[in-house]
Amino acid sequence: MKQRGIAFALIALAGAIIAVVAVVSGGDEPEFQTIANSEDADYEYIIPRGAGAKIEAGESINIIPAELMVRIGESLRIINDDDRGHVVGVFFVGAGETLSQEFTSSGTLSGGCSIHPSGEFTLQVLE
Amino acid sequence: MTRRLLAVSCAVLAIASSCGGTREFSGYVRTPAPSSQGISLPVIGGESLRELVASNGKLLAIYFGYTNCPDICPTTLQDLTVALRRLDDASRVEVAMVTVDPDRDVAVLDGYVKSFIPTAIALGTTDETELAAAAQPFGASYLVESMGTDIEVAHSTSLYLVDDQGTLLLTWPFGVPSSDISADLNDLLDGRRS
Repeated sequence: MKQRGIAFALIALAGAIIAVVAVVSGGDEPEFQTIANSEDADYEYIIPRGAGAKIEAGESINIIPAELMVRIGESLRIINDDDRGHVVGVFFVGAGETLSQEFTSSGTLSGGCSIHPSGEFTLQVLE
Repeated sequence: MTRRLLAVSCAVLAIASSCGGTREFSGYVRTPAPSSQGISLPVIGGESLRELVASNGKLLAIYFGYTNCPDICPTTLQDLTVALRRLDDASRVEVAMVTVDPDRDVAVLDGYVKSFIPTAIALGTTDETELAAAAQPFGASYLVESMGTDIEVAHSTSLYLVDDQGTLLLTWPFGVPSSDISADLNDLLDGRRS
């Protein structure tokens, strides 16, 4: 069971590294800015308590899509109610934290994802 | 005439400054912000422990990486080097690199990181619990595995910035241009926090 957790972590890390290399090779990255948690978000996902434990136990859960397309000016919020931090693309959301980002230019952000079965998360920001 | 010209100039400047929007940070802010206060690691090449907070009135950029990294670590350190060169007062920004591969790095990390930034501090421990505790507030992750004669290292690639209270102010994902990092640092050094 622990090995499965380690394997998952490896996949997530490998995904993040692959994504990073893609950035190095010239992919266009959208710009983003932190917004207040009190503001409405166009896309909101809640990571429930126990999500990480379920994944470690080998359960497949779908909380966040592997690919998300948004438009410039739209925002994404990830509320992490789990007892551990999670990687979502290039972002890390600690236990009990809320990530609120608005996207201000187009491009693609890819990285590992510790809560998607594929281990990857790609965010595409369109004009 | 001169007085009128001065008045007009002041008005133009006032309008210009009021129209100028605040530049957004290129790093992202975590809410609530974690703190690294009270967490220390041994200084490689020294005999002391270093708390993962900036010195009084300064900022501390912290990076978790390893010296055998072929691309991400040297690129990040080079980007940070360039960013520091662009600062109004680089002496107010400290840099620390924490090795995630201590078995191979303890002997060489100090020279490695100083080859990029001469004032940088090398930190490391072979105590896995101690290293994990240091990485935890930042969300830094790593995995070192032996594959036969090879050693594979996977690690998160963000660069972190804390203040003199240990508050994590910003996280820069890999790939943020050095010009944006330096702009963020200059804003923070000017006292801006959001």
